[in-house]
Amino acid sequence: MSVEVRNLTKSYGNFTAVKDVSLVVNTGQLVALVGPSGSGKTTLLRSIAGLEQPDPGAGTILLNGKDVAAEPVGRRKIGFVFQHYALFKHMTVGENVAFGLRVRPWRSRPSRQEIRKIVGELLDLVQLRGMERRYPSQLSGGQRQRIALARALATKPAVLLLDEPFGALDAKVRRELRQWLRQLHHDVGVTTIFVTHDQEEALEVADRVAVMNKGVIEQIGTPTEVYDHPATPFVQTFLGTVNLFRGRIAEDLQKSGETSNGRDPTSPGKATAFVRPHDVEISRLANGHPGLVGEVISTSMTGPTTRVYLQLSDSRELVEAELTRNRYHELALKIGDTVYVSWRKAKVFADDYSI
Amino acid sequence: MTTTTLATSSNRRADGENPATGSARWVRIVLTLATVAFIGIFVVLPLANVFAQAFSHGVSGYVHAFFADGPPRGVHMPVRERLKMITAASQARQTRSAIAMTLLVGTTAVVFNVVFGVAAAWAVGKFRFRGKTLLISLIDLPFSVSPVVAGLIFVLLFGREGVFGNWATHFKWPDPFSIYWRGFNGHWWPFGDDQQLEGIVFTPLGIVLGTIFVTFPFVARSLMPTVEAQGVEEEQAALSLGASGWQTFRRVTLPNIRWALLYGIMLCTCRAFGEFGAVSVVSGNTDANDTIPLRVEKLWQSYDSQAAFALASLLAGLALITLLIKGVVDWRRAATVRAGGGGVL
Ligand SMILES: Nc1ncnc2c1ncn2[C@@H]1O[C@H](COP(=O)(O)OP(=O)(O)OP(=O)(O)O)[C@@H](O)[C@H]1O
Ligand SMILES: [Mg+2]
Repeated sequence: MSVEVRNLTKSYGNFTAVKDVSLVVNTGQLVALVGPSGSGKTTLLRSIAGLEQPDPGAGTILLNGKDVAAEPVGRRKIGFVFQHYALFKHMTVGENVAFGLRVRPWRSRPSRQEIRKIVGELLDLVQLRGMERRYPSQLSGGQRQRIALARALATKPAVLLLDEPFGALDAKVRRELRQWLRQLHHDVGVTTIFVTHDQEEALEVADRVAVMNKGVIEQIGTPTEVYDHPATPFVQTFLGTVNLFRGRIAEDLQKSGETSNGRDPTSPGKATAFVRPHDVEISRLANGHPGLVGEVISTSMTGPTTRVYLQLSDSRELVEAELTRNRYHELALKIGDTVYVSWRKAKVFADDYSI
Repeated sequence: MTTTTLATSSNRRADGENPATGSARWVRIVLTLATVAFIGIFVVLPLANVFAQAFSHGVSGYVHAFFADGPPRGVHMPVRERLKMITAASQARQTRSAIAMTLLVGTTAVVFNVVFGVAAAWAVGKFRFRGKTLLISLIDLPFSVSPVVAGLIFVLLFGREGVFGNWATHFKWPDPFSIYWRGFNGHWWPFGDDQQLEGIVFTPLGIVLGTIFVTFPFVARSLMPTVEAQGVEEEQAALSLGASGWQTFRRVTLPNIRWALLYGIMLCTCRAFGEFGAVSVVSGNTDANDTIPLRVEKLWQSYDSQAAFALASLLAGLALITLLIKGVVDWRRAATVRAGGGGVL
């Protein structure tokens, strides 16, 4: 089932949480909704589910091309997984998962045996077989999360909405569950929208990423598109660490050529170049093309790469560079060394753009 | 009785040695002794006295207060004896009617207050709206209004000279004892009644109103913290899984509030059965409208203290049973929490 949101606006009192948002998710896609805290991700998701009503006359939600304004939550064929699981505390895991089947009108309700079978299959799917009789309080955070997912899947929803599914978990479990979600989505093939404020998670798992900020979607695209070709400075800074080089638009700034927001980069004016740490180049020698001079402040090893923190000598700004192990050893950097900084690739935005 | 149960529930977490006061052991001992002495003098002793007085004429005397036979027919006996037996029989009959009245009025009031209390706790706990604080203080109002004043309010509203006096004195309602089942053939309402009663004040209906007013905070108040802590997510999850509103209430909301609800109902019942002030005003002092507390007072006034205590022992017994249930509830709850059934209440 496809999901389409058209010009949705949702306010709480006189505060607008979601402003004129439009979004299309095709059948079977896995879309990540990212953005900082308070940017309206949950609100958008809840509006799609029907847990919030859009402002009167401000927005349409179409499921499979059909306006669902009049459909209550339970009839939208949506599986919703809450940020804090919202498992039924007084029911066992088995009862939790079976809930959606047991509340069906008796005509369409599966028999006891069938329900037991479905519950067993779902617990297999989330790798928690044998935990039927436990209570939610006897499970770990990650297990609860998976039960919440199994419960939502039991009714065979056409759309799965996950609100920060891995929010409360530690990094290792998150990474595992991320892979597992990817696999699950592959196996079940249900249209899925999931919220996260972890950009890495979004880029890794999703088919497409929608970046939200202050109630609007700033950009939607494939992970590569939003990461490599951010439409706005916000998207650029939000998705991954980025170094800012402020300056006038001059030759040294637009060396890599890519610019945005319609401003001619050669026209004079203040601008900022956004450079990812792995696009920063460090050299011992001023090798022909102009570079900035900086001093090595500190270094840190992060697995296969090494991070080098530099302070520019003219603007006193800090720069983060990511070097491969080999390059790092080649340079033999020591704290206090003076080096030349340049970049392979930058994205330049003229400064009338506020972040 | 109700106040003591409230007090014990609030300092349940007082165990464990406090390093600040733990060194002064005698402080603890003195405080404990003082508490025990206080409870002994003001709670246990009077309670024991109630039962002692009730049984001061033995078990037969106790039973006699409720079931006394009239003088046997055709047997000669002195007129004084005869008169005494007739009086005793009619007194016992009135006592029984007071018990029936209390059961009827109390149960009705409790049913209403459960419905109201759940609705109020729900509204306050689950929604944000303007005037919520005001609503909460209004729910608490009966705690601060003297019951006698509460009774007077109803008299001033519905009494002959009252604001709605004209309407209220001619208000007709079916006598609950005359209601019978007449089926659905030709009617939308399957009950019929033979007798109708008129008026509100000085009738059982007035007593019900007074009792409802005085006892309505109990259920709402004991539910509110639980409902609020519960949040809305579980219910929204149930709705998103296709449950109807009723199913959601039945299967998700109710199980989560059941202990709090049971406790609230118990407090409410005790208070409803024991209410004196408001009922005394709206009952109009007629014997037919007596409830247990009113009847106790009348027996006491007529120097029949043994009968008064016998009747009072019923209320005391109810309080003891409530205490017992509360103990069981607390114990069960602790057990559920230990077993990991979630910290409900
Ligand atoms: N019920 C509500 N009443 C008033 N304001 C609300 C309500 N729910 C959300 N908001 C506001 O709407 C804005 C968006 O909230 P939302 O929950 O959608 O953010 P979010 O992007 O999900 O944030 P997070 O990542 O922290 O979960 C926030 O500023 C929040 O304060
Ligand atoms: Mg959120």
